[in-house]
Amino acid sequence: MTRKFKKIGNVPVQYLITDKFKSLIVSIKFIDHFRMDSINQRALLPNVLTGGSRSLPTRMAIDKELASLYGTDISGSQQKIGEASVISFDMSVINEKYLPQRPEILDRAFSVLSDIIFRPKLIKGSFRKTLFEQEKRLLKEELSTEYHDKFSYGYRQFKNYMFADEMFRFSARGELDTLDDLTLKQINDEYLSMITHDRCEIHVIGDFSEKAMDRLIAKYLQAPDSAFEIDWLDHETRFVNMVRKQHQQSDMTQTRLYIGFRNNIRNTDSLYYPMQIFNIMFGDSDQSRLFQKIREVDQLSYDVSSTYVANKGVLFVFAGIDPGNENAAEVAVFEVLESMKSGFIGSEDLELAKSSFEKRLRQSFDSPSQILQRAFFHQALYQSEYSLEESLAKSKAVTIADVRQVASTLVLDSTFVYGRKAVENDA
Amino acid sequence: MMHKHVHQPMNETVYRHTLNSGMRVEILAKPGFARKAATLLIPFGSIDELVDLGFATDIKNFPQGTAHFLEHMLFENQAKNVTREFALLGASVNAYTTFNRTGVYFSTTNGLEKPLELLFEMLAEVNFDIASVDKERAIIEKEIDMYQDDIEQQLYYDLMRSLYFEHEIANDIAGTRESLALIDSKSLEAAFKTFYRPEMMVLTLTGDIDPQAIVDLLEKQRFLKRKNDIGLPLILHKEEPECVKSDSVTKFVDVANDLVMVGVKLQPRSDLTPWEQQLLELKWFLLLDNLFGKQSANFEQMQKRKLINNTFEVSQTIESSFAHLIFFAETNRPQALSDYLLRSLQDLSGATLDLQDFYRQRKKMIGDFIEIFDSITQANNLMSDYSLRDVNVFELIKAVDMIELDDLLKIKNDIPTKSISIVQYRRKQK
Repeated sequence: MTRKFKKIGNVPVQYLITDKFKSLIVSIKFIDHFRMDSINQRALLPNVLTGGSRSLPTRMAIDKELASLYGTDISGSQQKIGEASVISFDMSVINEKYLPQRPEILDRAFSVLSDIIFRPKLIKGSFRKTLFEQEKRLLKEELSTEYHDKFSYGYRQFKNYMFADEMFRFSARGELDTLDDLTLKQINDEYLSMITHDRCEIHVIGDFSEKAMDRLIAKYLQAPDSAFEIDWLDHETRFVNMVRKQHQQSDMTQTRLYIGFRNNIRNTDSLYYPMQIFNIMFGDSDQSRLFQKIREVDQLSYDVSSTYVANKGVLFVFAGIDPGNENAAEVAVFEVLESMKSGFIGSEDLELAKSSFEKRLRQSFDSPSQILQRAFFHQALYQSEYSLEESLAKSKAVTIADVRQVASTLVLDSTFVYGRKAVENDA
Repeated sequence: MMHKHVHQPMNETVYRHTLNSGMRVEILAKPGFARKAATLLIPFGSIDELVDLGFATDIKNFPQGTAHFLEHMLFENQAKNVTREFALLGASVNAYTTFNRTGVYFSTTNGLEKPLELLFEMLAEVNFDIASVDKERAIIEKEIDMYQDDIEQQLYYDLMRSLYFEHEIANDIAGTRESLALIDSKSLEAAFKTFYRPEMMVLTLTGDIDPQAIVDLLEKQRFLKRKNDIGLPLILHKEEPECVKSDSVTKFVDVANDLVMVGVKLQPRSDLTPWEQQLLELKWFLLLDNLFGKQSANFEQMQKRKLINNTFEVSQTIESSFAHLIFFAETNRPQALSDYLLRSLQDLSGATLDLQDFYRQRKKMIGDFIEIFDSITQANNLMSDYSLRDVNVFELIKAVDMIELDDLLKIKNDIPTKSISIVQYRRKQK
């Protein structure tokens, strides 16, 4: 894979050229600060834009055009990364040479993408009210859908609880509670702000000629120059002087248990790799201590796992358990953590975790979208090319002492139980 | 002899080979990829309850959930912790059960040889002692509990139970607490002997692989040398009427939006070859896309009337013993949506198909197929899906270009106006 980083016009562009894949992905990103008062605007704006352009005025017209380009896909969404709000428009196109009769589709695909972002259908400078109302309804119904997915819904409630005073509790997909208040004027203003003030960058992965791609970007994807500092890590935290615990009632067969820890070890921290290895040993594999103890030995749960969110410096434990077993499961989680701080850790377990980490890292280079996302984030954080070999070397250097050390930095913050309350315990 | 074929214009290379034991092996070569994926397929699924073992008098009835229970038992081994052994080789192993098959799969970024040896060792050493069976039963009961909270899955099974009187597709893949109680060491062992036979299995591999080395290694595996004298099992199904069991079911449950699932019961075509059947399924896909997909007038109407949102989904399942279409949506207007879908399905004889849309949708289908080959896992799953039926997926993709609008018009008339069930999940009043 060859990486190129340059500017075309005002826009920083990163190329990742490889013949490994049959599709090509173009990702154009608009970056601003993630703010409470613009979450819903920036969540809805990509949907309004992909809902019709001047040349293809309805979502159906766009869908038809993209289908004729062999199922080219254009999607837009907001992400929260650190303190940034990133609106990405991602286009995935099949490389012409793998299609029957080698049709020419790339230029046309670029022009559709360009129209969606830069030439929306406006009436007197405003998006159409019908389109706005329709997209608002669709987003609202999409967000309320989460309620059926008990794990996700419970997770959101848990985040609201643990991060009550932090931006991390908000979802970049949109906030249901305030969506009704969103006005057309706010969307119009946000659009203007996005195309005039946001930091814009473009990342492309696939098998293409550099010159041809330069021309396509110069022709179709130009944005004004804008530069300002963004913190790509989420530094908000709280000093834990009291552990919090809450049980939210819901009439489910299984109870969901969420436990949140903090240690403020983030991507750039020297303990980042030990933390990755620790997490795999603790709960992020079927060989993990949590899985072995809570599912296999204690048989308290069908699923139990841990997740390390490096951007925020927090670690979560999730489990699905029989109602009434929440306290036993919680105690078991703490016991496992204590045993990793002070007890025996075998070198075989350490090697297993390292090989699992290596496997995940290596195979992430089999996915064009994952390569692109990693290259984008690495460029944002370090302004340099990501090196797989360097990451592997650092993960291989992790020792048992390192794992113990990061285990002892974890501070319990919150426990959240979502499910039926046992009647006998209420008395 | 190993058979090699390079499929153009996609430039994908596939090796096919049948081992001495009769097990088929299909290898998709993906040079340059780190991940290697393997799936072993056993043609034993949840609908395979009633089995003729070769003599008309020897008909066995496996309790609901046997295939899934057996899938769990594969990892029970007296001498070693199998998943850990896989992990030590850098491979993560797992398994699944669907209505028509059991799949055991693993992936690794190291070599495939050692985990493949372990996989067949594991099958040669499956342990059916009572304690292990009891332990797995307890785990499966928890798994069933977990699915109780999965509203969409509950809705799907309610629809299946509305469409079908007798067919096993209406039974939960994992079984029920009652049926689990009927499964014991003996019945599991009997099921294992009946279905876990090399001549019935298919192994699909995808990744940067040396095909000859893999085939040589497989020929040496003890499990794959087993010879069986008994004939192949024949799956039986009870007589299923053409009509549906109930037209409509409404339940009040704890949801944020109402849910609607509409099922259309089609007559299964047991007369078709697997190839014809898979091609027919693609035709149904294109037909439904034309009539109800995002580019259709129906979709636009439903959107305009606020009957549907982005959750709207249409799907088709065309099997030799059952066939149906499913429409699903979350909606705030469940009755109006149900009425709309019912009316449009009953008025189909007059409905026209759009030729330009059809050409576009056919192109999209081809593009979507090609994109799958950018993912090792998805490509291997696609191969698995078709290879168990002995259908060559690359030939099938080529055949898409030959489907014409007339093909769709013909099957459109197969949609019955009566055999339709509607299941609604309405918000419980708080």
